Amino acid sequence: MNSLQRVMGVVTGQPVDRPPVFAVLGAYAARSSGVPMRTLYEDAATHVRGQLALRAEFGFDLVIAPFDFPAIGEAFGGQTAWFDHQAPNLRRPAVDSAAGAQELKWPSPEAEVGRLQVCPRAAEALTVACGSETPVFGILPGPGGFPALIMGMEAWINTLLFDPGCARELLARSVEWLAGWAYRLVTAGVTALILPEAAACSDVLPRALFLDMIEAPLLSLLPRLGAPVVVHHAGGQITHLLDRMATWPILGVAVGSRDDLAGARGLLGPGKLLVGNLDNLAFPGWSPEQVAVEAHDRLEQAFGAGPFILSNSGADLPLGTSPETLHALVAACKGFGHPS
Amino acid sequence: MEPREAITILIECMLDADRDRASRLLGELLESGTPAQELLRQVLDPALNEVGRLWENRELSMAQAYVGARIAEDFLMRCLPSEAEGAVRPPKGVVVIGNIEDDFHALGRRMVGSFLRASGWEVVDLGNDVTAEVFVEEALARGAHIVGASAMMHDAAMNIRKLRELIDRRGLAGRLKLAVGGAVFNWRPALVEEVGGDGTAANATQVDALCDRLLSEVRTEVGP
Repeated sequence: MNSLQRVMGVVTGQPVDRPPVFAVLGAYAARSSGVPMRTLYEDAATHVRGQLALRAEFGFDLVIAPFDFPAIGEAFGGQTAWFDHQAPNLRRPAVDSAAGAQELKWPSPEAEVGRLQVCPRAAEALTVACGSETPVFGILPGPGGFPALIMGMEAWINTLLFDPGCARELLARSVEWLAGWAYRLVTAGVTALILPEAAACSDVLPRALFLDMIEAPLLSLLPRLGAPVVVHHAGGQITHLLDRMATWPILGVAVGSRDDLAGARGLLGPGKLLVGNLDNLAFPGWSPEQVAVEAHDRLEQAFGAGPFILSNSGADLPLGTSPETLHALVAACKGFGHPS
Repeated sequence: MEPREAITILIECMLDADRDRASRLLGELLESGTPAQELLRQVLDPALNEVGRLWENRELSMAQAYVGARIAEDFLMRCLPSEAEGAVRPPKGVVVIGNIEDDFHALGRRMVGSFLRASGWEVVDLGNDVTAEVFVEEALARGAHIVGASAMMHDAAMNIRKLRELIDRRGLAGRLKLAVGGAVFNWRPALVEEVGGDGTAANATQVDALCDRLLSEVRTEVGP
């Protein structure tokens, strides 16, 4: 059974040989291959080589197109900060106010500006290289957090709170842009889309504000994405909205490490995919034995209760994570249900 | 209006993101003759304490805390006397804050600045991507005994070690305390010790108490 068969089996409720497992290893390719971080995120072919090398070394069940939201912020006029040991970040957004975001000329999702097209090009090459055996996931921001890439988080929160009319206009424009961006990824061949939605974290917005401002634009976007969607916790907790997500037209939800897997399954219902929820920040400190214990704990909770993929919860896995720990994570899934 | 009722309303304003209602409340309290400085002590401080408690218990989102910070700033602007009016309360001390080198997540830091000012500290905000050298030079130039370094991500947080090393190398450990904070420290508390922090706070409303403690330690170690 290859990774594509395994993942498809899990999401459709068919028997599989073992639980599928995944870790967000975008920047990690720089550690494995010694390629400069900047090259990894500027050159689609380098990203593809990195993903294929990681797939060959560890055997995770998904590969990803670049998880690089700063490339979007940069295309709008922002500035990227580069690091040797972590994924790029947005140093400065294009504008610092909602008025600035409204006046700004937004680039087309097809525009050849900055690194914007690296992601769909990498997605297409990954699909050609391994898509028949391994699912290729594209990653795009949710509309509730998207304006922050253009104007910064503070200005966006301020707008959501104190200028709801303007916020709704920006959300509507965000939905249009993201639908076009998703089209680029889907036509490149991705199997599914991961949608980190910062506004869905209870750490960021209260439930009432999410339901009032964000849910309707998000629901208007989902049918236009053209691929199965996994809504992602974006670094926080997401349990407070799982009862709503149970009714959304999505493939599943990636929950945070502080969300309870059994509780999440109860709220989400039996049919939707659940992804998670090993603590991203704990990985560098975990020994292979410790990660095996943690993996077993999550699998005991969630595998068998519904569609489940074991994964780190967070963005890119810290580069301080040892290869032995990652091998142990995969081995834990291979051994699950098979007494040693 | 009794202080208890005003506190309850103010907390509701923060939770409902109702800055206008908070402004009207403050106007009513000032018109009723309550001294402005008393309003800070009797109404704003208890409200912020409750907001901090809710935040620590994860019953509050960043957006609600952000509203709390904006309302606190509104209170301060209207309640603190200007220098021209005299009777300016001397600050509790000077705190230099910034996001450490390679970190660009400004919102949490700015909220810390708001709550510290509301609590009576003079705040020097150095912004994002601040090197260890700039932190120390600014602290010495401003007479600060506390530097607050913020980071959201793990790898950026590790750059705080450079600040720890610089403070120690220059023999400033007794008179310059290192407060650290940001989301990553909440997720992984052991990181405070790893980067050499003298203390942390779970959220912006608790930084005042942290700074009180750190300044007290300085006074114990080197005198007032």
